[in-house]
Amino acid sequence: MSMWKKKVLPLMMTVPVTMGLAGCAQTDAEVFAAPYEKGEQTIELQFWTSAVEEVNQALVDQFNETKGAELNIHVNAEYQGDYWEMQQKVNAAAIAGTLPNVFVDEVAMTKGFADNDIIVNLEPYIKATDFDRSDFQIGDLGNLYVGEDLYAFPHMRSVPVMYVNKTLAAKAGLDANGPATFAELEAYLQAAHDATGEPPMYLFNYDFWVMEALLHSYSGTTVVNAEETESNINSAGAVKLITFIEELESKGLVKVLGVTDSDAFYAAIAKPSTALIFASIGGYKTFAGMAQQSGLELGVSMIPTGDDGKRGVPVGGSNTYLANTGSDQEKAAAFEFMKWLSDTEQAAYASANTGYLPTRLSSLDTDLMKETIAAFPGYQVASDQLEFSKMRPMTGAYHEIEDLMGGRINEIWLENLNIQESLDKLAEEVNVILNR
Amino acid sequence: MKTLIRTPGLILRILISVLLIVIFLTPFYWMILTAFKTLGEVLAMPPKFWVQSLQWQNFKDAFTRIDFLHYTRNSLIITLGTLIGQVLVVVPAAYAFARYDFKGKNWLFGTVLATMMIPGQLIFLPIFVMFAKSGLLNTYVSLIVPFIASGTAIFMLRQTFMQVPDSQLEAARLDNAGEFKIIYTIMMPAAIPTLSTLALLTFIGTWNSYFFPLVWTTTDAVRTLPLGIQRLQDIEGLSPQIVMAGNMMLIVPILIVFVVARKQIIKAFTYMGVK
Repeated sequence: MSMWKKKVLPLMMTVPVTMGLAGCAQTDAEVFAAPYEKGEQTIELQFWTSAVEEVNQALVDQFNETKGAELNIHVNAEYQGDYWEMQQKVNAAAIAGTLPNVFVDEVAMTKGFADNDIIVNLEPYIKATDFDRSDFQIGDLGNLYVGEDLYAFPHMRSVPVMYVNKTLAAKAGLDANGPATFAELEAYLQAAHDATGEPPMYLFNYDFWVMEALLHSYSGTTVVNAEETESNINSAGAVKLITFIEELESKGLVKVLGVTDSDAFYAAIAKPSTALIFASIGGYKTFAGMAQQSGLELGVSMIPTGDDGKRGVPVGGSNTYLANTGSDQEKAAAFEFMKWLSDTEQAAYASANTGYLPTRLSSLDTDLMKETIAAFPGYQVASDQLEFSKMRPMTGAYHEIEDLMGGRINEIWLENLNIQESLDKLAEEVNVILNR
Repeated sequence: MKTLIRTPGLILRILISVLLIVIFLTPFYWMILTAFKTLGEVLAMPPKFWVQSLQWQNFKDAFTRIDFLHYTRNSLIITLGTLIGQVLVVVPAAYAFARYDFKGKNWLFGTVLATMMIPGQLIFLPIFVMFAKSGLLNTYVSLIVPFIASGTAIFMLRQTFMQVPDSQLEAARLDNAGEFKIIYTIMMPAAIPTLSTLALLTFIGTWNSYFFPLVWTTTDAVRTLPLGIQRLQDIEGLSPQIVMAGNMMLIVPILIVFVVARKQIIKAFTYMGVK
């Protein structure tokens, strides 16, 4: 199942949708959209949700009881699975004509959905309702846009951070904030290793999003070129990074975990001998709770900087999308729901109850976020790190590409393959997908 | 001397058998073990192969965090619906292929066999669109009907029906027995081991099915237990012990059915092997 689910299915689902709908992308930002007007009858909307279902459901319940009741809009939330299952279902629903009104999905899918006319341009709705987008604080806004037009609202947003075992750092006489630069990383890990005799860092490469951060910060490069027509994975910078990690691994300072080792990776977070982990801030509260169970204090620091102080972190998580379905009134109603969902209090609620970042600047001023940041200071670190944020690749085939790259790069490390040769071959495979 | 010659082979067979048993049972053991652990024990490194105290709470959590009864009811309806549907469609089809000569029989039978070679993933989208257009999405019908006409079942049952002596059928016809009477009084009793095996395979396949209930449902109305268990992962976050407790409850019906039907299954495979 997992092979089908993770690799073949996204491809199978993408091809027919692309073939059927390519060329229909909505580029007409000047299209008029009327603002929502409350009618006699209640507008029923379908909202497909993905990760952190319970928080999404709680927000929908709040909407139905407050703003929804006021506007005669009722939202029905339906959980559809993880981001990739959602992508498959949205593509199938687009073909069958059964799209929901609003859905949540991963940030890197905006362009793919827009190119296939699955989602609508939000600019006309923004104009019609005088919506102020300037409060969005998610770092790089690229994954909300296609060209100049906004096609999505940010929902649950996250960045990779460096989790530091403060308890071990104190014991080994190390900086409780972890290494500030990659140049300091090896010495830091060596000291931690000397203190425990065990691997001080685990890398779960299947989460390729972390590798994107390392490519930005260590290598000053990206996974694909700016036009997204060619892979950079065999560039000098990428080769340098893969070599650096291989050297750390060969010295016993980093343990690379395979695709099926997610449990081992999470177990490593709560291990007294683990000094550092690179992972999403979205897991912050869970990770901190696990560490606490093991009697450890977990700190959050920014991803170390590379040469010349370079640092870049991809902004991940999810967006909400307005689907290209329903009447004009339903679309306007759906936009009202999206606006409410992304508003200050709701963004604060979503952040405080998960680990994801608040998507609005104003959310940081709410009592809820102030209390949350006081108890979990890592939120502030991640939020500050947004200054270095980068957008993720926009190609609709990116999930297929990151699956491929995660597996291949793991093989290089775990099977000691020739790095340049393997990355050249990998780049060719990625280029085929990019130019398909 | 004969015993001495046989002993090394016997020892090797026993060793291989033990190895196979260990290979097959280790995942089950790990699932059961995890289901009874605390999160701390699950995350412990090196892994613990026993538990300090059994965590029954994990089962309670798995049962209450999702609508377990709702998902179980859906799984039962869909599994039993598929089984009943298969009996109504597969048995007459297999009988016709085994006992009748008609124009295009071989071509039709070849088509049935060909359906066994087409991965479901290739046809799920057209079927999804068909159900969506006919308003059957999120209904039991959409999760039962596509699996009723099983090529594997028709093939296996046809082979079994072909073994029944012609004389038995001729005698029944001389006694004015109709075709349905022949099917239900002669053919089906003769094929009980095969029917039991097919029923078990269908039960396991339908009960465990994840892909089709996932892609053919957009609401919780008819979603099945495997999807509910998967949902636990999202709800519980990093709690593999609760997910494993859910998985244990998921496989209980399969174990019960297997224990009840195991003699018939062994008989069916022995029978088919001999023939």
